[in-house]
Amino acid sequence: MHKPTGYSVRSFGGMITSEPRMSAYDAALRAAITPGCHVIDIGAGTGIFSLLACKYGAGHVTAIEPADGILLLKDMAKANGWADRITVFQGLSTEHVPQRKADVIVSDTRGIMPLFEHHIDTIVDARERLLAPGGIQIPMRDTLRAALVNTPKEGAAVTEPWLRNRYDLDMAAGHPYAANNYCKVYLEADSIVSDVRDVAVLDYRTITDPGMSASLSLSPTAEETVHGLLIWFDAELAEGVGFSNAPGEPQLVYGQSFLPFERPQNLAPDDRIEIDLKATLVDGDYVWTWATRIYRAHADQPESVFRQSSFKSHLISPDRLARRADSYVPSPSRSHALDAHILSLIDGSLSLRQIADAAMDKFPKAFGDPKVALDHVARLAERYHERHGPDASKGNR
Amino acid sequence: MTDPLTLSVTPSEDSVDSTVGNETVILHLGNGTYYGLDPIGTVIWEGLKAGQDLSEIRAAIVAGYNVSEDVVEADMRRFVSDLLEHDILVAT
Repeated sequence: MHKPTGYSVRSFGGMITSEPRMSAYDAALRAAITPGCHVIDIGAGTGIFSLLACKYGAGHVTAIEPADGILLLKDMAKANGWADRITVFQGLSTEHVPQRKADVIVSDTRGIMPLFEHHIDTIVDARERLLAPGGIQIPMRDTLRAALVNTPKEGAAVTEPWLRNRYDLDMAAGHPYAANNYCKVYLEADSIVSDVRDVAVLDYRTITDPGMSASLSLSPTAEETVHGLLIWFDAELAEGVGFSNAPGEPQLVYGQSFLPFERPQNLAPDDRIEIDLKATLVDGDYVWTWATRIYRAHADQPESVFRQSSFKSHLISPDRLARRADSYVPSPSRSHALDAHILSLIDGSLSLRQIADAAMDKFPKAFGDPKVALDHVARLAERYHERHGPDASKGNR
Repeated sequence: MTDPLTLSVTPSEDSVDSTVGNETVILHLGNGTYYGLDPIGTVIWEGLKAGQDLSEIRAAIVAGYNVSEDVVEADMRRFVSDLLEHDILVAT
């Protein structure tokens, strides 16, 4: 059996002990829960929000989580005397068809930042399909903020070893990829060398578009070497209840996003940097683009212009890409024939072992031994397994 | 129908590229589609990014590669039409 993927129990534990994040969620839940209400907990992990909802009087909680960590919630619900008040749905919230809409939806499916994979789509779907009219959403709103930063360590990761290395080698071919690699960092407050600007307000009560774009104009507060733009977020879970992962705040499970400039920029206070920033959800992941124009003193025309994108940080083989084009005609292969045969044998009557044996009979050279065949068949069967039956698959992803 | 080679074209603001060796992959952020360019396509693309017009690029390819002007024109016509159709290039 191959290893399960996803968060470990240890990493789920790290989320629960992450402060002040957890205290803020606790306070928001305590304020939102009314006796007997129905709560849906999306991305429940091991179910801490579900347990707290019961503690504060919820009549019923639906805990939704695709990872196996949710299995622990059944034991913990029983241990706390709430087994009859918590229902576990192992899967995606977009697959969940509720019997009753929620009075409160609590979630935290952010990654490094709120603009992460399908986080926004998940919240939009939950608001539209799972939340009762007038229901409460936790979190309520995230605000992205940004500033110029001086961070020699992150700046060096862009230029070394690609433009400078102790071996005197020309490794410049790697520099464009490093220079376009936005990354998770934890910077201190003294890294900030400009005013702070609001980038975007993600109001989860109204948001529909997972994309984001903003234009920023920033100047350093003193003569500084600027290595890039830092983005973080301030979360409002409910009115007056929130936390921030700004530089100088306690390090949380999230992170700040560092968007490097192609090269460090030595700037004076009357210089300015204009940045057009965009985050676009493509195929389940965000592509960040940042077009930077650097103006000296009060010049009308930029001295330099950089157009950077996280897309440029990936080495993509044109050959491999060509095989995804709509005009590409794939050729049949032995692997295709093998898997097609295995899938044809999954008819609800044969065991994995029986299917593996039949596959070995038809394709005797495909597997080294029966264990390898069994693992291959099991992985294929798992891939097409419908966890909740066909009627539950009504989500948008 | 307008001959694409008579148009003034430029890369769309929604197009981002990544070059590996002498080949290029373009992603259109608006529709999420990928597009691959061969070495000659990469030369045309880099020329357009640098603000060159199509006649300058055509002349550079004819001079730099052992290819007839007719072949270059036909290839460029197909290339520009294709990228306009996919919104990777826009007519200005």
